[in-house]
Amino acid sequence: MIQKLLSLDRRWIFLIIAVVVFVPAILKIPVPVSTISNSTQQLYDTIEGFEPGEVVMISLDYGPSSMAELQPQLTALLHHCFAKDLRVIGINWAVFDSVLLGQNEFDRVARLHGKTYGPDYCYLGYKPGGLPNLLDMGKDISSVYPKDVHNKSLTDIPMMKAIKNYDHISLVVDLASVGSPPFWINYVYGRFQQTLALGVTGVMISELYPALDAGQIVGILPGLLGAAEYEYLIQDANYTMEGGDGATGMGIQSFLHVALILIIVFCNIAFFIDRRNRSNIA
Amino acid sequence: MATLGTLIGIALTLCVFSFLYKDNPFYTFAEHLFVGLAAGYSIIVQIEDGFIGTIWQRLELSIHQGKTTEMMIILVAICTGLLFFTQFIPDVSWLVRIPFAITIGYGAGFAIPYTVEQDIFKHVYSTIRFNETQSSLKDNITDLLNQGESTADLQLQFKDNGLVLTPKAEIKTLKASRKWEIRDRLQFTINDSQVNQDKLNQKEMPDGLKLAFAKAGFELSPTTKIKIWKHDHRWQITDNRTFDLRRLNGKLVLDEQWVYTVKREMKPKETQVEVLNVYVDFFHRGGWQVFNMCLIFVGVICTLTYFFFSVEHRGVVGGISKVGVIFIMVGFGAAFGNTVMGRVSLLIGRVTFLIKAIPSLFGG
Repeated sequence: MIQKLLSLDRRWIFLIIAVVVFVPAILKIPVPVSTISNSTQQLYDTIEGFEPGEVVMISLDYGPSSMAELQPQLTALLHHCFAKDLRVIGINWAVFDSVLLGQNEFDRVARLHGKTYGPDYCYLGYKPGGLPNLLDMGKDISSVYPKDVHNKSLTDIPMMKAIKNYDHISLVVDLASVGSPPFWINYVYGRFQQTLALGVTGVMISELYPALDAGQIVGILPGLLGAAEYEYLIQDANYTMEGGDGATGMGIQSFLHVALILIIVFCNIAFFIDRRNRSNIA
Repeated sequence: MATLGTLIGIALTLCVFSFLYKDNPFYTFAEHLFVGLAAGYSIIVQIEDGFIGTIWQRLELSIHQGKTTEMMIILVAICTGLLFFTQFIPDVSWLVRIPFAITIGYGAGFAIPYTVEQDIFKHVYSTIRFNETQSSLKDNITDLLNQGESTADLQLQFKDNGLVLTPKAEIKTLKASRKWEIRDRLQFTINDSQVNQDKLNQKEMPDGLKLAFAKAGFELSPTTKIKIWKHDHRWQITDNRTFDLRRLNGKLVLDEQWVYTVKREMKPKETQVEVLNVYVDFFHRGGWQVFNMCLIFVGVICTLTYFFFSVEHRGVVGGISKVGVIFIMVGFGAAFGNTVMGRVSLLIGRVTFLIKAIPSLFGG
């Protein structure tokens, strides 16, 4: 019996995982957010402390493959910024294939808060160039982005008339699934002392906590969990009534974690029983 | 059109998931399609936004405007970039060393100082900062004095204006002296009767708490804001004040009329308007913070000892390195757990897409 279980076709495990994911997703079983990570709370508090009119720049350094984790973070951040009447600039510094993802979401959330393109927010898109672009934006954003995604000159965008470089930006948030955070930390924080926050995938989070501890960043959203926590905070403050994908995803993930833990415990027990049986036979 | 896009999305998602059963032509098709599309799109973007958008249009503009120097710089950059392709011509392939040397030289020259400062010094400092005492105040004042600012006078004026800082106050100069940030953190114990949770929930300052702060050496301003974090019974008390600063006989002084509101809008550098955020961050977890800092300190020392191979790992060193192994394992475990969570999130993202998209095809 134990032998049979240990040599079980792994596709059965895939099937169990599929059931555990699909059932709560279809039934929409709610799982409440019980605690808020300090890193999420710190980012929320930073934005919460801003006055209307201050500028937040969001860099979307992720592609569609990481959309599941980072797009809910973007949505929640936009709700918070627009609800507080902050002005938002969207860019894609490192990844070009998320221009449409960002642009559409900016337009959608802005519409919900009655914000207009130009005075309240703008989207600059992607420019090849890498590190020099980051550094040049510290001197003059229009030297990197002479035009926005709509091919409109930056001088014709009302909000950009007063925003020349990082000095005029209160916070930069890098939503990343690639190796962009060290660049933002080392050069934009290091050289320009720009207040910085991150939203990253679960895979990257462990290596970036030291930056939070060192005060290089003011907050960090850890993957889908960060999105769910942020959604909870903005809903709690009545900034939006829109249910986010983060909370839905974390609900499903809770069930999945229980299933994974049970599978791991069960397999370990089976492994030890098998080892004991073998040693008894020997 | 949107329906067609959704249909393609559903079909390709199912094609990719079919690999979980076994390798099949549907999966291969989806894989090849993805790689082909990504490569094609990438090339177009690099040519359109990279070469044409960044180089060619600037070259055209400089020619039209007759800016010879700018034109020459762009031409030199283009020629240097083109040297990358000489590696395909064996006779002149040595020329590829020129752009490589420039790229690596520029990159290393720029990266080394910032990487050392941000990745090493900052992190080492944050690991040992629980030893930080009032010296931070002294250091910061020294920094400011080095910049020619009369900080001692400024502090005195804060006091005259009812803003009493504790000896632990940290003064930070942000963005080349345009902003000064003073952070004053207090941690002290108060009893439940002083807290009056009901008042706090209504964002009012309980008298008992006000007195407790005053006793600890911090007079709160009348405009003190209270922010409630409903989790962990935490709350934050923010005291924001804006001062108009101006220079008088080379010293920074406060204007008599100073505003009690937060004002962080952009100001041109010339106006010399500075913003001061003084805030008290008060919460119940002070003890845990100290414990965490000690844990990190011990963990770093033990882990470094494990990787220190100049001494044989026996006796005390052996014991410390064994503790280091535990920390390393915990670190790997946390990283693995986060990785699993990240991968699972991707699966959930696709499943959520399928569940939303399939009914939408039928008008749901």
